[in-house]
Amino acid sequence: MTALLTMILAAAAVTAPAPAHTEHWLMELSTGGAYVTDRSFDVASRTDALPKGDLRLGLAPGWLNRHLELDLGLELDGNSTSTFETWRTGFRSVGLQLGLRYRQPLGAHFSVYGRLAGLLDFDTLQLSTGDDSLALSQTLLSPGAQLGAGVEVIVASWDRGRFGFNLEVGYALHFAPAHFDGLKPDLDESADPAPVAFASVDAGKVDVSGIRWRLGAVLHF
Amino acid sequence: MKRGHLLVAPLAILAACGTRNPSWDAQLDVVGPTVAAGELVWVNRTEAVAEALDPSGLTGPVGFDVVSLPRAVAATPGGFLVSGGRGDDPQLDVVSLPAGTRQTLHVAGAYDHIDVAPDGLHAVLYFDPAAPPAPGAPAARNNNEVTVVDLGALTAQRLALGTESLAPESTAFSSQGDVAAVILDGTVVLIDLEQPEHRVQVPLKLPGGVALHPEEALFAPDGRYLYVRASGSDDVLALEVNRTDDELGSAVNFLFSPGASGLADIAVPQGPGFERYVAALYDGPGGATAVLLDATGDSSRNHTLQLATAADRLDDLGGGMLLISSASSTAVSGWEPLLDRADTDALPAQPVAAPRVAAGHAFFIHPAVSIGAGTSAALTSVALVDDGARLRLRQNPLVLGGAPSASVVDPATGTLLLGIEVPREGSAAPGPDDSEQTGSVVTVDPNTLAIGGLVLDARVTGMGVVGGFGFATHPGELGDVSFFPLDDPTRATAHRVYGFLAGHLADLGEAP
Repeated sequence: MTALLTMILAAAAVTAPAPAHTEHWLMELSTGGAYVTDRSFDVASRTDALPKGDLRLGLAPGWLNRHLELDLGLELDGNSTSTFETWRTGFRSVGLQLGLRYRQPLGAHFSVYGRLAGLLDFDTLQLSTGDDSLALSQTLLSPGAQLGAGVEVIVASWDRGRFGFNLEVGYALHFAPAHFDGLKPDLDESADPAPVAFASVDAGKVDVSGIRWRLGAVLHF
Repeated sequence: MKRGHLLVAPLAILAACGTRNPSWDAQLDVVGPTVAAGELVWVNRTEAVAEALDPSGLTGPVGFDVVSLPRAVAATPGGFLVSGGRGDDPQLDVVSLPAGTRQTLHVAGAYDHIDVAPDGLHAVLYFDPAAPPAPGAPAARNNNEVTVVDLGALTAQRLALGTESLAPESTAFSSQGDVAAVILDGTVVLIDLEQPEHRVQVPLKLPGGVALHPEEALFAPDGRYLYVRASGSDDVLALEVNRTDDELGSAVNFLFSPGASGLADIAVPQGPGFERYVAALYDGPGGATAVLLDATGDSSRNHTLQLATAADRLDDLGGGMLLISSASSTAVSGWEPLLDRADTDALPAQPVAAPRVAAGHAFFIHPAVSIGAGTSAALTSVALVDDGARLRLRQNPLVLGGAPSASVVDPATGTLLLGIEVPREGSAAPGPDDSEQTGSVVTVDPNTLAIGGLVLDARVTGMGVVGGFGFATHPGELGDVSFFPLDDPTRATAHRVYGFLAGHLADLGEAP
């Protein structure tokens, strides 16, 4: 890995100065993960890894600051595992991100950036026994913020666009753990006949704050 | 290795490192429910977490961390006890409900059994010789010991029993809660719970030296005698308990009835006139014989009832009356021994299990009774009626819509609760669910035989009574129970707690 980074930096250093940034759009498709060390996450995962994927749309407005980009992302993550040999426990999240990226070109094909984003995650905890019996689930809104830094390499350029790859590492902080205190089976309680009223179950608080990384393909157009 | 792999692999390794505690991947091992302080308690032994459910539903399920490697659970008047811990640090958790306050006592061993005195002031802990020693403990244990816990002072005292027996099998407590009888395989050890150093060992041996194995031990209501039925003997052993401030002593009387053999059951009738009596049932070759034996051995005070049919079960109905029944026949008899009155009748069919007895009534459940051209499950309520001139055994049969899968009697009212499996279609339960069958709870008033109840949304595997509520447990690995008020058991008043074993798991558990 050290050799690879050295090669990238060397390539960037010998390239011509980067052209001035003008208004353009960015689209990214990334895969990555989170490294969640909080013990509560063990309910839904055998390891501390939470796989992620995201689709990101960016705008470099040009008139704002030639280094700044607006960033809107849709992030999906999830994990599911067996627990106690008979349960299926799963955690999944759909997140919206609105961020600001500061990009510093280091040559024509290489840039580094820092990114600060606000997070709005819809976290779901689900428990079942994997058969036809009822499943428990609850979805919560969990706000947070993420700070990251990345590198981007452009591997192809043409008249109206550029294509490259980026790698970002950062940290996501959720302002409070998601408190799954209302797990219930997903049944229609207004059905006829109505089911016997369910009391909700408090499964506790799950905190998925932690280190994030993602590796993506990016298109500037 | 390709460059891409070089880049991704370290990150993947970073993300994958850190694995959860292996207990999450162990088989789920749950003990419960235990009725404790008006709540229902389950202990998840895999994760060392207890979950308490308020039957009223006013508060949701509450979880507590308990001692690691929990082994046994027992209810106290104010909460529950959990024994466990590693062998090099065995503990007893004293948990109060509903607050969940946990106090931990360090005890001499990771005990497998906890028996609590009826007044809740003391507990006796002992090992199960069939259970493996706790991790961290030597590979062998002295099973010939108990620990007496003073639950008021929160002190524990280990007692080496030093008997010739292998291990305790059970304990019996006097109703006053001052004396415990530790029943071993061949010995009874009486312990003064206020002063555990005061104890007396009573080997149960025939004159030829043959050891007797106790099968049943019952204290007299005043705690003066402990009556023991032992295999291989037709005598009832009456251990007289002499407790003073200075010592605890005992003398043994061998109680017998001439000619009676095949001791099958004993019972201690409650009520005036029975202070020095134990009832014994002999299932002899010519029919059963019931004898009310004088504890002092004065056979002139005995009362005897000879029956023409076999019988192997004796139940105290209260009011000076006993019920005699059989697991292998339909014969049932009522007996008022002090007045030497009895009545015998036949049940409509052989019962499937021992009768449920409460409030002067006994309920027999029959899996199949002939009705017209077919058969149906049925229930027979039996009571003894004194109609002035004679004692009469009154039977009231009830046809059931299915075979009961569980039953319980409310000790306060004598109301019988049955869990019956019924087809989901056409019932009040919604579908679809995990089964085409669902559970119906039927309540039977013992005096009026009035029927009530409700249809629940899942099959019933167990039933019980807690704090003015009935409860029915349902199958499922996540924990599933329905509660309903006993005075108004309807679907509208019932509520179901599904998945309570997952309660607080994100916050608790992972004890080493």
